[in-house]
Amino acid sequence: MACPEFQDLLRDRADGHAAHCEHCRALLDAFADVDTAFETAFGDISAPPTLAPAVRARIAREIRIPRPSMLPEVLDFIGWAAVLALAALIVPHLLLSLGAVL
Amino acid sequence: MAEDFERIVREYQDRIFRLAFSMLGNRAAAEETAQDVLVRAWRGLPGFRAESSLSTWIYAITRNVCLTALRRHEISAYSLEEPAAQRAAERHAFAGWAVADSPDAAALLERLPARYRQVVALFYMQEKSYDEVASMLGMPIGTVKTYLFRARQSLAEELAQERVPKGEA
Repeated sequence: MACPEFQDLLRDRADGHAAHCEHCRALLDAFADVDTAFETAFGDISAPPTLAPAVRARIAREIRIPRPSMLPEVLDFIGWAAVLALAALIVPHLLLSLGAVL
Repeated sequence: MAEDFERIVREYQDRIFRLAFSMLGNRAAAEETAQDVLVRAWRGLPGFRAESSLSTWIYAITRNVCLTALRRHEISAYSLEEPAAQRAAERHAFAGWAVADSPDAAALLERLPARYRQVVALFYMQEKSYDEVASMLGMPIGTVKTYLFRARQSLAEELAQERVPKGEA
């Protein structure tokens, strides 16, 4: 980065040349116009005031409604599987002892 | 955690919104996306281990959420090489850019290749900070400077040529 004094010299030389050259004057003006157009359009863009309250409301909803848990379904499945396993173990014994009695 | 999150909202809401706006080119979509980003940050904050800086983490979430939004809504990617019909839809989307009664900026952006537009818009939104733009886009600072230089130069040359056509000087 050149020091300010050198930059001033460069600008003076550029301005001096542009004073006599229509194309270069148009180019310098065009650079300034491009900057101005973008500064005007985008210079003060910020989040809308509704953003933060909307986020807080969404988070409050998430805290109130806990995510659905799979735990009851899993426990239910384990319970029924245990019942069926026990039945599979006991029924043959019952049938055998019933056959012996008869 | 609530205090940490409030600090994130205070410090980053503008930058998140600007980054989203620069990627999506539409205010409504940018606001919706910024909400999603902050909610994700809130969910992820307990697991954030500071291996990267907070800003890097938040900007990465923002870029990912924006890319998902672009895919979901099929928002055009601002390419000058797009077919005419898509360019027309793109112009409609760019109406969102025309803030502060400056339709010229939208028209100027339309002349630029897609990869330059976001950098240019974000640069002017972020008070011309190369560092900040590079950090927000996850891009080397040299690339940001090159894109900006080429974008401004090509626009200025086009404008100058329109004002003083060759051979008239």
